Amino acid sequence: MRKILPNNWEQFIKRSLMGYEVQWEEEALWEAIEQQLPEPKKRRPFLVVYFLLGTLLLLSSVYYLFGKFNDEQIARKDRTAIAAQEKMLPSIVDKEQSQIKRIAIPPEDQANSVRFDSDTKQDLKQREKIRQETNLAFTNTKAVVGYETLEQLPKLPIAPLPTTSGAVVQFYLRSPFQQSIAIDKIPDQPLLYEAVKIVKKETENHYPKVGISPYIGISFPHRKFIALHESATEQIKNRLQYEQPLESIEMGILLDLKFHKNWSFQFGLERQQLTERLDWQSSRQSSFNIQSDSAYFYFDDQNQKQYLAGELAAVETVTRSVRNYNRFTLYNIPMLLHYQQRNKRLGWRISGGAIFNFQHTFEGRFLENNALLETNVIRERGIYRSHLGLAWQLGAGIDYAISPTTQLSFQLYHRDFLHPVTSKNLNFEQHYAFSGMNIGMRWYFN
Amino acid sequence: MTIARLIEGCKKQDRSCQKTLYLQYVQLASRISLRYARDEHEAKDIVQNAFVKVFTKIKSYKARKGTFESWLSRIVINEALQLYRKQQKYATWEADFSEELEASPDALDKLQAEDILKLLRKLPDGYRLVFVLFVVEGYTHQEIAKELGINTSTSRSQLTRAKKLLQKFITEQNSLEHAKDFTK
Repeated sequence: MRKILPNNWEQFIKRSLMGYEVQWEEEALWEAIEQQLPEPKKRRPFLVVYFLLGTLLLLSSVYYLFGKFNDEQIARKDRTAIAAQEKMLPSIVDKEQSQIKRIAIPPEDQANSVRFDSDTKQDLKQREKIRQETNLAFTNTKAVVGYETLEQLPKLPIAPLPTTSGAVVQFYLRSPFQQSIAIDKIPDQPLLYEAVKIVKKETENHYPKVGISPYIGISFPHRKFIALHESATEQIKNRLQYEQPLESIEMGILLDLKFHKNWSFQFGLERQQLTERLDWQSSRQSSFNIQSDSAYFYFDDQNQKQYLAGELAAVETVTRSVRNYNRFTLYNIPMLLHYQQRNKRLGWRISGGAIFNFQHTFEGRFLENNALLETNVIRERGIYRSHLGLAWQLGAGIDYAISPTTQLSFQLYHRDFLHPVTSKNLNFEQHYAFSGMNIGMRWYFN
Repeated sequence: MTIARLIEGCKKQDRSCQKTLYLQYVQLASRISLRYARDEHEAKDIVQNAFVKVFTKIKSYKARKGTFESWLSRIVINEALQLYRKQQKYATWEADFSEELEASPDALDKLQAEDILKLLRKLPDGYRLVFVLFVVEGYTHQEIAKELGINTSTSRSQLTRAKKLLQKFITEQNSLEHAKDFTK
């Protein structure tokens, strides 16, 4: 064929096809695309969790402040009452002196919180009498300072009751769970308490030091797990979108070591069961064309080679679907700083800290080849995961006290796994993160 | 809005970001798809499938591995090839190259992009794909062979035939234009 086109005609075609403008109705095409797209997510689940956490903290704070406010109101009211009736007190105290053993505690041993034990008929009668004469609103008769044993009290100096200038002590205690009460004292006068029975009471220096807390929880992931063995990293990185982590179940026990009335250090052991669902569908077409790919021939009667003629092509399609659930167990060692505040039976708490985790399993399987857009041969391999890592956790919750030493607790938390610390070759951007909740019991030992 | 922000929005399935991204790149995707498709309808199908795949798989796009344009181009080409594989038919006729054709050297100058696309579509599927992949996209014969599931010698021979056939179409087109000019 004679050369009829310039040498650069291919380049001309290339330039023409790269630069021209396509006149399509782009809006109509977009509508068709939009119909095939999944519905946008309205709100991410963990944002709801954060919102609930914030609301819970806000409500707890308001409740706590409201309770304090009430205490202060009562205290102010009764201080006024005491001042108004001060002159009448000595005679009342004189009468009591003959009937009730009294202990005067030096000012340096003044307790800031006390607890009443049950009333006796005699005490009630006595108090009613005092109330009538002084107009003081005694809520209970017998007050006990925050000493742990009765034996400690006799060691204190017992001061004779003043006959002319009595000390006035007023107590308020609305429930066994209330932490603070108001004590009014006339300056330079010893405080007087009725020491009948010593009851252990939480104060700044006296509180249960050790507690134990078993719990169970469920959490939901919103990121994916990548901490796999080094030999599988590249394949796994490329197919993250096919591995869907499901909910995780946690069971554990925490030891609660208090170093302050409100603050404690918690550590323990937890078993966390993770589940991942692996979905894979792959189809592959293979074709064979006799004319172009191979030379097929036969020998005719004259022993002449005759090639197969005509168009012979074969297309084979193989489709394969795999759904597999891989379950892995993590052993976690939480090390948390915990703050708890209680008001009556209800309390709130926050905690946060590090979690060391360990995983070593040969269970499960994954698929080796995973080109995003192309379908290649897939091959299954047994899974091997060895993982020693670190996570951080932040949680907040509420407590309900069944008794002064037993509490029910509910907590919402967020747990974020950091990069594995032992596998240097693993450097992924994604890692597990969970938002979850747990319920538990807590027992404190006196 | 920058492309990075658009992609972040698309990862969160933000519809407005998806549409903006689509409007920004639909021309590129359309141009690519038209090179491979037999007709405009098929080209639109390719673009539609490609964008659906882009938006559903966009979390796997990593900017450090390449530009979004190249990622999108790759997806469109793959969609086109996938369609081709589904309807796989090999060249069903041999062109007759014995006839010598007369044409002026400026035959190309009269060709618009639409004309070239029309001529490309006249090529058998296998020829067209090999020609576009090699000449326009810059693939090697090894890469073409891998993509189309053929061997490299087949790729080479189909390219040669595609070129000859396309030259023939161009000269025929040119003759037709001459005839039109003459009758005016």
